[in-house]
Parts: sequence; C-alpha cells; structure tokens
Amino acid sequence: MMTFLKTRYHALLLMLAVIGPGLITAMVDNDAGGITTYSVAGAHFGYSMLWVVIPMVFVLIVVQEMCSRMGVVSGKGLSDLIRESYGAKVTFYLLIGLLLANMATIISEFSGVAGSLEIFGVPRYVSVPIAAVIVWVVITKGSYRSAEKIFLAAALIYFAYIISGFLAEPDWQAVGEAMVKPQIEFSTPYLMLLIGMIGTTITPWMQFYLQASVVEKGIKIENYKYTKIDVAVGAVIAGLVAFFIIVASAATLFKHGVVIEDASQAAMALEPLVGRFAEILFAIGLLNASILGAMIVPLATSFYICEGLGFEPGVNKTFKEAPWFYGIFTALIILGAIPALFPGTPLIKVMLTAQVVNGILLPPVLIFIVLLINKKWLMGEHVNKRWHNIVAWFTVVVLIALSAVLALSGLGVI
Amino acid sequence: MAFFSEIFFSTLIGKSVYTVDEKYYGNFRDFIVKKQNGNFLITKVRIRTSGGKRIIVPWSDIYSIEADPVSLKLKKQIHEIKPIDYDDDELRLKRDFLDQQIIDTENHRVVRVNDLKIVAVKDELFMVAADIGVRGLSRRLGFEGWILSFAQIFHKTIQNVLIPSKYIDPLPARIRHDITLTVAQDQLKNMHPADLADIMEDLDQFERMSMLQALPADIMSKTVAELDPSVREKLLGKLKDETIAKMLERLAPDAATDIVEELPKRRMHHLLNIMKAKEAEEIRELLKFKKDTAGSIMNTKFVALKGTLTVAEALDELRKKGEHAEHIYYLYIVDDEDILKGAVSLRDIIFADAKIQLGALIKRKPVYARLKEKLNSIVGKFTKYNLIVLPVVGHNKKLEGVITVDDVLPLLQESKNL
Repeated sequence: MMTFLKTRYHALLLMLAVIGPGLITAMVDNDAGGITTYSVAGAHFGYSMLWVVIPMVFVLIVVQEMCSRMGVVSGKGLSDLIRESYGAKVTFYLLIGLLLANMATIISEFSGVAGSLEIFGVPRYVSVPIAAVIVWVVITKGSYRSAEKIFLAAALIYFAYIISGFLAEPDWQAVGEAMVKPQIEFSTPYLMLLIGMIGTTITPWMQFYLQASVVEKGIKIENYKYTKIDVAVGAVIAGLVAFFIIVASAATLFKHGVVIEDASQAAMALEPLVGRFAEILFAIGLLNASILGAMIVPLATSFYICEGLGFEPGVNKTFKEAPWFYGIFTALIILGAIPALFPGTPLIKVMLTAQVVNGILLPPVLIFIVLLINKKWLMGEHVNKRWHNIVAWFTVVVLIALSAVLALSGLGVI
Repeated sequence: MAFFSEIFFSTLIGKSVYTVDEKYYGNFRDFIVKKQNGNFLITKVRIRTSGGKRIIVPWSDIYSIEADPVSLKLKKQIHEIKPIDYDDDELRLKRDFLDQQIIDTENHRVVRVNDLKIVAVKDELFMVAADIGVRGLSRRLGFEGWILSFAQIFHKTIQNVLIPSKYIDPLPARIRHDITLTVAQDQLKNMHPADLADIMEDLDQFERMSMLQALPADIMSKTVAELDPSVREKLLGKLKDETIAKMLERLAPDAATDIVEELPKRRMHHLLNIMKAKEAEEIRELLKFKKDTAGSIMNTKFVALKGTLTVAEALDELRKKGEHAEHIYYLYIVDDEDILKGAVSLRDIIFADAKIQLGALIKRKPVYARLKEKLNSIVGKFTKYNLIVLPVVGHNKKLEGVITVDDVLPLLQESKNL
C-alpha cells in the first residue's frame, strides 16, 4: 500500500513538472480573436454552432500531439527542422507569411485590450500604450520561467466565462441537443463563421510555440505520456471555454436578437440582460486573453524567425547579443499597438484578415508537420503509426478544404 | 581541366550535368567530402539522373565545371558511368552542412550555415569556409545582387561572414543519419571544458548527448561540471546513474558535491551508493556542511606534512602524494594530531637547505578559515591576504581541507556586480 501511494505521489510530481506547454498553448488559443468569434457565433446563430466544438477539440489534440512528440524526440523547434530539411528558401517565405499573419493577430490582441478596458471607462489612448509597455517589459526584463507561471495563473480567469455561461441561465436541454445533433446552415455568414472558429483555434504559430515550449522544458521521452495528458487537457479546456462563451451569448444576445461585431460589444450587450456582474466578468476575461496573446504571439514569432534564419534567439540574451530577436519582437509590438489606437480600426476586418492569412498558411505548416514526423532518421521508433497517419492526413485534407473556402471568401471570391 | 578558382556551393545545386559527348545526364545534387588536415576535400559527386535515380560518382570523373551557364561536365559517356558508394568517414555538404548548425570552434558557439565556399587548387576542390552571414542568406533567397546594389546607394558593402573550415566541426546531430562523427570532431577534444560547456549550452538535448559521448571521459566530466545548473539538470536527467557515478568519481570532491547537491534526494543517495566507497565518502563529508560555508566548498585533496620532516623528505613525499592534490603551491604543516601549525610555500622549500626541518621554515601563524565560516568572510580573506589557497580547519584547528582561489572567483565576481 505504501509503495503504491509512493509511486502515485511520484507520478503526480512528475506530471506537474512536465505539464504546462499544452495547457498554456490552449489558453492562448482563446485570444481576442477566438473570444470574438465565439461570441459572434453564439449571438448570431444561437446554439446551432455548438456541435463544432467537439470535432474542433479532436483536431486540436491530433495536431498538437504530433508537434509535442516532435519536440520531445528531436529536441528542436519546428522552424529549425523545416530549415534543416527543406532549405533556406522555403523556410524564408513560410516565415514571412507567418510574420504577416501574426502581425494581424497582434493588432487584434491590442484591439481586444482597448475594447475591454473601454468598458471600464479607460480610453484606448491610455490602455493600449500601457499594455504595450507592460508586455515588452515582462518579456524582455523578466525571465521566461516566471512569465510562464504568470500565464498559467492568469489562465484561471478563463473560468469567468464558465460562470457567465451559467449566469445567463441557458436552456440546457436545447444546449444538449445542439451538441449531439449537428446542423449546418448553408449560408455564407454561417460557413464563414464556422471556418473562422476553426481558423482561430488551430493556428500555425501555435504549433511552433507548443513545440518550442516542449523543447524548452526538456521533457524526457519516458515522461512523454504526461505531455500527452497536458495537451489533451489543454485542448478540452479550450473547448469548454469556447462552449460556454457560445452558450452565454446564445442564451442572451441571440434570444433578444442583439447583433454584435466584437467581444467587447458582446460584454456590453450582456449588461442589461444578465447584469453588470456578467459584463465585468466577460470584460476581464477578454482583457486577460488579449494581454496573454499580445505577449506570446510576438514572442513566438520573433523566436521562430530567428531560429529558422540562424539569428541568435533568446529572451535571456542582451539586446547586443540578440539584436534581430529583440528588433523583431519590439517592432511587432509597436506595429501591433499603433492601429489599435484608432477607434476607427475595424476590429472584425483585422481579425478576418488574420484568420484568412493564417488559414492559407495552416495547410503547408500541417503538411510539413506530418512529413517531418514520418521521417525515420529524425523520429526513430516514434514516427506516426499507420492509423495515426490516416487521422492526420484526413485532418489536413479537411482543414485545407476549409482554409481554401475561408481564403477565397476572405478575398471576396465567394 | 577547367575549374573556377572559387565558388559558393549553393550556386551549384540543381545545375545540369553533361556527359563528355555533350548529352544531358542529370542534375548536380551534392558533394561528398572527407576531412583531411583540417580541410574538407571533395571526393565524390552526387547526381540525380534524368531517370530520377540518385547516384554517386568519384570526383575524378568530372571533366570541368563551366561558369556560364553554371554546369558540370563528365569525362565519360553514359554507359561508362559506374555509381559508387561513400565511406563511413565521409560527409555530404548539402545534407550535413548547408542549412544545418555547426560548431564554430574558434568562437565557441553554434551557428547556422547559409552557404559554403569552395575553392579549386589544381585539380582538387576543397570546402574552405562556411558562410553564416546575411549576405549568404540573401544569396540563397536570390536577393544577393539586389541587396548589394541597395547597400551601394549608401556606399556600403556587405561582407560575407565566413568561418574557415579548420574551425568547423559538424554537429553530432547527424548521427541521426547513422554516421559516426567522432572522426570529424577532433577539434573539440582540444578545447577547454569551460568553452565546451558554452557550446553545449547552445545545443539541443540530442546533440548534447552525442557530443558528450564523443568526448574523452576526463574532459566530459569537467565539461559537465562547468555547465549552467539548469542545462546540467536537463542533461543529468537523461544520463544513466552508472555514467554519472563514474563521472563524479573523476571530479574533484568539491566540484562533484556541487553537482550531487542539485539532484533530487533519492537519486543523490542512489548515486552515492553505487560510487566507489572512497569518493562517495568524501562527497558525503562535504554534503554535511551548510551551503555557503567553508565546509561546503572546500576540497579534501591536499598535501599535509609533518613538521619534523626534512626538506628532502618533504620533496619525496610531495612527488608521491602531490599528484592527486588540486594545488601544491602551499604545503600544510601539521603535528601528529593533524593540527594545523603553519604553511610553507613550494618556493620556500625549493630554495631551502635539504637537511632543514619543515617546521623551521614556518614564518608566521597561518591564515585559515573555520568549517562553518561564511563565504563572504572567506572572500574577504582571499582579497586581504592575496591568497591562492586557504586552509580550512575544524575542531582544535584540525586541518580538514583547502579552498582554492578558483572556488571563490565566481563569488568575487558576484560581489563586484552587486
């Protein structure tokens, strides 16, 4: 009995040591763009989009499991591996694409900061510059490890959405039915939003970020099973948050026919229906998500660009040692914050652009992931199993189809 | 034969290969190289034939490399070409160098290769340098001319950043391709463990492991001792207990103790149990002392001699015992109960009369630290008396160990930075 308890205790300790990357990645997943998309989905289409959450979580787990496995086995970042296997040119253009896509994502994060703090009466001329400075200082002056702890603690704020979901007193029977009975509406706005939901949840930069943080943690292959749990739990929590945001907006805004354009409007619209408390919870959640995103997206972007192009990366280096890294990081924050200062910035358009560019980039990144993970010299015995490849390629094909539709519609073709 | 004098490797990749009778044969894929006196000699050429097959031909089959347009010409006709294989100690430029990370052994860092410079000497080609600069990167992307003319507007030139091939060591990562790289990594063995530790901190886990295995046991132990604790923690997590135990046995007890202290309690005890009893005992003794006291950083390998010995006898003793001591600049004079009586420098002994007794050479009362003395007070003694070594005494001034100046150097630096 004692030894049993001891091994259980030991396993728990190990798990705590390994956990983190998957959870954090999933948290950042529900950033300003994500929250906006989910609240618009609930407000405009009620419960009818809820069923998407389950396949979304499934796909998220499939893709992220591959990235984390690659990180554990190879000990290298994704852009490192792409550069070493496919050369400078491919890597360069891929990174340029990612840079543009992430630029748009960062703008939407800072717009999220502006929107959420305006609910508390803070003008964006004050909130956005302060947020930008905080982000810059935390990442450049603090250590990555303490930043990681802050991220994990901040993730608890996501429970705010779950609470506001209950406060909205939804019709649980209708919710249950919508989960198990998929219904697709064949209208352009519905399809667009559906693709947008997947596009904002499974983004290219996340795969780079997840793999880099798994490498940074130095997880051993014997403990990889805990990383799997980490990734799965993260994806499920991300799904839960999405679920409750949709439920909250569907139960209130959709019922009263309120049309919204972004998440802060959703928060404001909640007030007369379910009270000031729900509004505040929603706004705090959005603020946290936006700041988290504004920290991690520029960090991840400059990190993998430096890695892939052979510039010195690293938050623990000085500006002189890693000028490209700090240069790109700083430029991304400044260029991301400036557009958010203008009240006229069409948040929904910025986000849509970000989702379209991310959507175009997702297929090549996924193809690289699946190709790399099947390389015997790299992965050894940890290459994909047959069934794993079938699931992976199926996922890739579905996502390519969806991204193609999204990209075309975003460009105004459809 | 017509060869260029120098060329960048990337400009050759994918270029056409013709047979001696001017027929298109395939595309150039890669050069096979062999390390020879610090240079990488090109021995074979890898070609993708028009039929899609990848074959390797010896360098001697190449008639010329034309400049305009860039192309290769073989000495043979199609039916005369006999594909060969490459040897275990040969590397491939494209697969093992281009776009990969290498060790720059001159500057002790890991860098990514953007291009490779190739030079022709008579009939032979050599890879002479790795290009790691922005200009090399822009060449790969096809922007080189563009960027150079842009720079010219400001009357600037962008230089290639080259690492000469004698300072290049390929990374053991390529063992993933089943190549043993111990041959190619001879540079590493001559480097200082502290420099090796710097390099190792830049590497990924897999590469660290392979690099460690390529090093001689003695250097490997010292390198691990020099690593940043966070990197060491990750590395030790991957090593077997037996390997770590062997490594600890080779290190000075104080360095070994520093490493053992960072490990989880369970692993620490297990390691001490499987180590050789004598070395384990020394570490256990040192572990007893609180961190930041003289006892925790002292070294128990020192030379102590009785005051009744003559100088000649002392020198004899020293030759026998001194080999295992960290320093022999000072010999400590003790009585029959190992009580510290004084210190005599090696210099004093060498210049003294051979028949004189050691005790007579003691000039003044020795400076020492107590086992529980705090580090800042120890640092103070080192600076005040300009010491190289400081003896540590326990109960009744019994000599227990010595602290050498390199044990306190990092602390000196820290207190300066504050």
